[in-house]
Amino acid sequence: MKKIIIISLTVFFIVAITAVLTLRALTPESTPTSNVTFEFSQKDISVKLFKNLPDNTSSEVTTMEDTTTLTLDNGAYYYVPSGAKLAGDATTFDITNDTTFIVDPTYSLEALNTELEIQQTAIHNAIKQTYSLIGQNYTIQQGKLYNHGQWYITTLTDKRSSNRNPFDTYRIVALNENGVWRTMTKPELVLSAIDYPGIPKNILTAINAATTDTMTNTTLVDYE
Amino acid sequence: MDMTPMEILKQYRGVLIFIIVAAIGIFAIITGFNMYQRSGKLAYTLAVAPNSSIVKLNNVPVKPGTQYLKPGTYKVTANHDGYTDFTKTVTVNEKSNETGVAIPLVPVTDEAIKWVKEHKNEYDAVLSAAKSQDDRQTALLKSANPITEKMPFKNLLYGINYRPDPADTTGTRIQIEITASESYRASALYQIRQWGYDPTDYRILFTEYTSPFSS
Repeated sequence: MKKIIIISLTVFFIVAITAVLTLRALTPESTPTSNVTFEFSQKDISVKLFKNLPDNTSSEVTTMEDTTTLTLDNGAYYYVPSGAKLAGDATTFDITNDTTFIVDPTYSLEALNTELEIQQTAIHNAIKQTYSLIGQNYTIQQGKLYNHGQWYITTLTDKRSSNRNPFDTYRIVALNENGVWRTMTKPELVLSAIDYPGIPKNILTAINAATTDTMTNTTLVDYE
Repeated sequence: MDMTPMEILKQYRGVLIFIIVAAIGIFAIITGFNMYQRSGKLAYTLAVAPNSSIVKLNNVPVKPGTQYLKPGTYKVTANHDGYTDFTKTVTVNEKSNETGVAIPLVPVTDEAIKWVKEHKNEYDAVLSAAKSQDDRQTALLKSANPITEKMPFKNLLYGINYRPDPADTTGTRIQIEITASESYRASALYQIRQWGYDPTDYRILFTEYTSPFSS
């Protein structure tokens, strides 16, 4: 009787261990997940979220039209915004832990150029009012708008400047807040990100790389 | 009647226990008080030669040696009759690589020079600490700014050099200085781009230049 009990228990344990190991082998390892909030800073836009897959393809996760919190598998993702004025460039990002993304897509070049035509006189007047010397001695180039048209960059060329006798080109950044344009930098030869931490780096890089040509032709790109 | 040491020990056992407990208690109180006083503070060493110099932190006299300071920016000054004055702004924080400052005051009077000669070991110890700090600072600056490998740069049209940014208290930021006539300042900036660096990342000064917008 004792023998039978021992053998039964041994068999039971072997079966139990085998069952556990088999189950574990068959169950795919659970991927860690994170709570990700997509905070929309613009209205009337939608965002399609995609997950990058290991085979270099991607799968659409969801479409969002307002601030949303999702529980997502950790990994590589990108989103594509769409809206009337948006450029629709994809934004890639990795998710490794709980995080919040500010969805703030930039306007398309066409939309920014259209807005620039409307705003240019007001911007140039604001610049001239702040620095009267500019109106007297410098030509404010056409410049460019950035993001949703709230940032403006341009170069200031000395009226005496010529190809044979070039003078310094100054750079300036302006911002539209509540419909009012104001200069955010002094006119300088180089605008340092150290001196202007409140201005997005891509805008400072763009204005520092700008030439008179890129500031008078809105289809030219200042930097890559 | 003579008592053996064991008997004396037995007789004064109570007193001995009281003394030991009191000593432990006092030690615990002092340690606790020190820990309380040093909580949230970082050790910062002020090594100065001569050791009798007047050292001040933010104009408050302190003793040379290890000070426990709250994270922040401090103005360190040291002076002594017969020596040049020393002033430096230092940053004390957990991320800072500076855990102290070595200040070998430079002797200017005969008496001071004589003192340095007579106390050569003491003075040299602080001097070598200061030198190694300078070397460390230079190495830190170079590793934080790979662009420094390209400088100093000079051609017929312009020169580009660098120095530690005096406004930076972390000891990791440089200030680029461009020497060029008005016609070639843009060329110097283009050169920095050609090296693969974005001028936006640096504070750039132009020598012999005054901005017309500075007033």
